[in-house]
Amino acid sequence: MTMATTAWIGRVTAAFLWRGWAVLVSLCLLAALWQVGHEVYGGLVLPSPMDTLRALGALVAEGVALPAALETARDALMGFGLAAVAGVLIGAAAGLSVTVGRLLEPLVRFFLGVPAIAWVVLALIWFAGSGLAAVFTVVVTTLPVVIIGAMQGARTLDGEVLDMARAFRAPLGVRIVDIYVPHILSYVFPALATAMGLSWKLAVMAEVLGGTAGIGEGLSLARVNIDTADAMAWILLALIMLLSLEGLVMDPLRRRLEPWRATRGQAARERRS
Amino acid sequence: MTLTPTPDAAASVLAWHDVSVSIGRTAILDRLTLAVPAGGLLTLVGPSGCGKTTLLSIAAGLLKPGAGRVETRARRIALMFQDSRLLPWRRARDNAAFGLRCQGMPRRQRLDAAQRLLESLGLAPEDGDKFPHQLSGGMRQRVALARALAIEPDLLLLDEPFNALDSVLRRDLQDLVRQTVTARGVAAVFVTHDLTEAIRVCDRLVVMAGPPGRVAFSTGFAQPADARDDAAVLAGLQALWREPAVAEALGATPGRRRVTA
Repeated sequence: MTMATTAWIGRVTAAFLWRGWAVLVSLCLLAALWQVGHEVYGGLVLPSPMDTLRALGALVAEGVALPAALETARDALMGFGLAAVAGVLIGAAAGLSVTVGRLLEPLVRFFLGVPAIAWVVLALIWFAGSGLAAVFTVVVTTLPVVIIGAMQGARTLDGEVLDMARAFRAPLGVRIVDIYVPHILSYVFPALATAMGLSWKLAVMAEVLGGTAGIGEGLSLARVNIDTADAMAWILLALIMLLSLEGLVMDPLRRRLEPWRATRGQAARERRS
Repeated sequence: MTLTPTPDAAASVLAWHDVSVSIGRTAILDRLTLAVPAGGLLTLVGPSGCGKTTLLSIAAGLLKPGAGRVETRARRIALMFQDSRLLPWRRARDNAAFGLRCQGMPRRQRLDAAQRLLESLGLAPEDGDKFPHQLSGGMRQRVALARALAIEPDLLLLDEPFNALDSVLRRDLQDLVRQTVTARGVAAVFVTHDLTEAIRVCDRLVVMAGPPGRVAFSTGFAQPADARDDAAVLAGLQALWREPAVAEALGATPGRRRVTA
């Protein structure tokens, strides 16, 4: 192993530990505040962090938590996946063609304006009992978000860069891979990250209201039993799942896709060097 | 320095014949005829809006003239723009290799070629790994020049390539372009609105007037470009300003000449 590689591994490990340390500190701060709240208002209003963890442990041990989590993940990810694929295709078409864009934009704004809870109600009426209500809600609510991202991306394609490609007689394949995709992706990716977070919340919401299997069902049961510790445990479970998805999938993906962007920290480092 | 108003060389690598272009009702070029000699560097100098860039766009095939025709014997034409127009999401080396990628050269081979070229144009070896936002304006233009040279063009079109750079960097890059043209024996058209820059780099100089764009004055220089020092450039500048056609085209009124004889 060369010196450079060793130094690189050292830097990466240090950065990871530093980030982990910062996360740990802020989590401890939150837990401390939470504990204070518990001691002021009592266990019925706000169970202590330890009680919540114990409740979560019990839910896992009873074999309730895992199937519910998988059910919610299925609803959220299926809806997200459908919205992502359809949204990118529709949005790119709308951005590249003025006619499609003109026709689609008012519709997208309209759908974006409909409150998510209204979609849940409609979905429960339309898809009662089929278990598709949550997926449907996720799709219709996140689709406009993705479409707008992709549309902005396709619209802001740099005509000068396209001219440059033309001057070099770039074949269509090269133009797609080297210009269209990276540019549109840079706009779509933040939209996808937003849609991912949204999809999780919407799936839980639809499950609470529809009483269908999942974390939402656990939450509504906890409400019926006025079991605050259980409710907090379910919330914690949903959070852990969403955060680990973001930390383990979205962030590495972002780092891989967008090293070319100058972040503020990066720019400052380069000015110093 | 003496001007040598030689006629256009018979062997031209590129020629515009009676080219007219208008945008809306505005005529940008009106029946312009101009030939670029094979080998050597021709500079086009003219005020803003006289159609210099339009001429290059026509030569590069980005624009069709409304009337007239353009003839070229060049098989590979490379164009360099005012701004670098690098792909922000590609490293310097990939950017320099873009033209080769368009020609279908295998990845390993084109990246090696691009890296060698970048280093020969004065970039450090590790700069090849950098993204455009990590490079200074001068370095970005060097990458753009590498991208143009990588395809081994027989005609190089440069559209005010160093406008955005400070004067020291400009001189560096002017010398670099001049050396490249001499070393590779490539024909080049260099568009600029800066007469000093034009004299520093050119073998042949064409002053345009307009709009609509037309050729106001055309000349060669007795002294070869690679031997011209600052004194020679200044002398050339004075000789050119004495030409009424040049003074008129570049907008100097008799009482307000920047350089007087």
